[in-house]
Amino acid sequence: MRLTSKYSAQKKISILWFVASAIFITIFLLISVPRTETGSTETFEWLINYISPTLSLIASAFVYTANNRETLLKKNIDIFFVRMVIFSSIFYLGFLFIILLITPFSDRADISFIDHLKRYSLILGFIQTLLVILLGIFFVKEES
Amino acid sequence: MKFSTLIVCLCAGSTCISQTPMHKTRVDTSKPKLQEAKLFMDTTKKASVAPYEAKFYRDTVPRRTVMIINETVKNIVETRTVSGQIKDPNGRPVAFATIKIKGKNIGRSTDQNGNFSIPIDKNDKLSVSIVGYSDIELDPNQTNITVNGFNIQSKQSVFNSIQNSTKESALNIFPIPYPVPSATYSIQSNSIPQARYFYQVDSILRAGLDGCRYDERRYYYIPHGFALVTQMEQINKEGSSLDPPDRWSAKIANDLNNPWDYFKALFSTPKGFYRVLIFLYTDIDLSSNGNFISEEEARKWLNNGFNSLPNEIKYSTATNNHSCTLLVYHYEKKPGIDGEMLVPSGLSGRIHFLNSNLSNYIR
Repeated sequence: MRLTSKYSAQKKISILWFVASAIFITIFLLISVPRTETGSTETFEWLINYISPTLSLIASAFVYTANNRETLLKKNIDIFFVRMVIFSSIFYLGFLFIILLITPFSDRADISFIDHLKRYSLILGFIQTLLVILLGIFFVKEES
Repeated sequence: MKFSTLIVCLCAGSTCISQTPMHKTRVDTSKPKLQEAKLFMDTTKKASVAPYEAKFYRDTVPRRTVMIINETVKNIVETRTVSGQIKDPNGRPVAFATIKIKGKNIGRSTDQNGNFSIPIDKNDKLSVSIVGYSDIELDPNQTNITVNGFNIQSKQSVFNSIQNSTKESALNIFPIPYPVPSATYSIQSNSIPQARYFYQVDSILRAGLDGCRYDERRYYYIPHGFALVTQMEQINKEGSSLDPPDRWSAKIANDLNNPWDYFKALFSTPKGFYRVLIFLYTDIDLSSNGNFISEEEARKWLNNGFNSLPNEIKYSTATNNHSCTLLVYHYEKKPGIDGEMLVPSGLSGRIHFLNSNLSNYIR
């Protein structure tokens, strides 16, 4: 079993999530604002539903990591498990990006932006649940 | 509906030539001109359901014979509706049976529960068609009949209020005063004022519409004239028609032929512009009724109406006061959302007329 430092693994995952989320939210705003009716909050509710649970988990872990750097440096974790979390995060975030980037094709099919987003809610909810479980296990799991 | 006056004036000469354009018939004026009188009565009958005074004048032979039918119609004070339910021999409701008014092109279908409702006139008779069975005649005054095991329970309701909408849609009458348009234009044409009969005006308009590829259109009655409605088309911001198939598509034209198109489409809201053109040919003063009409309702104009100018008014005579007015109903649409009417359009009625290329044909 190959081990890696839990601190560095948590750092990588946090950076991945913060950077990807920042880019995603920026693109989301640029795409959604012209397509959202004044006063409508549906699109932003969708954004909060599919980004904030994971992001808040990562953020709280990040704060914990920053405050307990010395302790975490001494702890290790199975590298396979780290890779699994990273690739799952990339898959989930990539899926979110693809949903945004295919918006013009939905426009062509006369589907409103919010309906386009909602079409993928079921599969996104499923992937998000798996990811949150993986992340939860990751933050708890540690090898001596 | 009430006919208050019917005046037939036959002047000068014992015989005359009735100059209907397609059929030249010698008519003896010593006998009442029943055939033509009937024609005019039918013409006015259609118009009489709306609350206005309808006057029809016809000059069949200039300076020799003048025929005037003057019909004054008061407000509709009575609207009848027959509603009921049809059940099969097992007591189950019969869905999709057809209830038609005999002698008229008006019909309704029963719903899933066998219920129906149909507007009728006082002396109308109904017939009920059920697939696989012979038609059943239904007297609107009957409340419960059983034929071939099928039970029809019906009730006739008489309303003493004006209910124009149902009647108008059933009888293919365009609402006058008309719904608020995005733009209007009084068509200045050399040929339209020279037309002596409605069908000649129709020919001029049809030539323009054919030239501009408005293949789908519908005709409606209006007081003293007719309305010609075009299919809703997609246009660009300048008011020019898009090329087919985008022109007739309800989906917004959004080309994604290269990366730059895609990039622009990603960060901008695609908008489609749609319009319906309506030509009103009449001699009455026109005004709007202050109501706005949705994109969906505007599209429905093409579902009703006649495919060609009805024979009943085809040979009606145009007077010097007749003129042609173009109404433009202009909508802006975003993906997945019903179009919003643009009032005002942003383009004048004249610009719509010019950029639709109609001006090249209707000079």
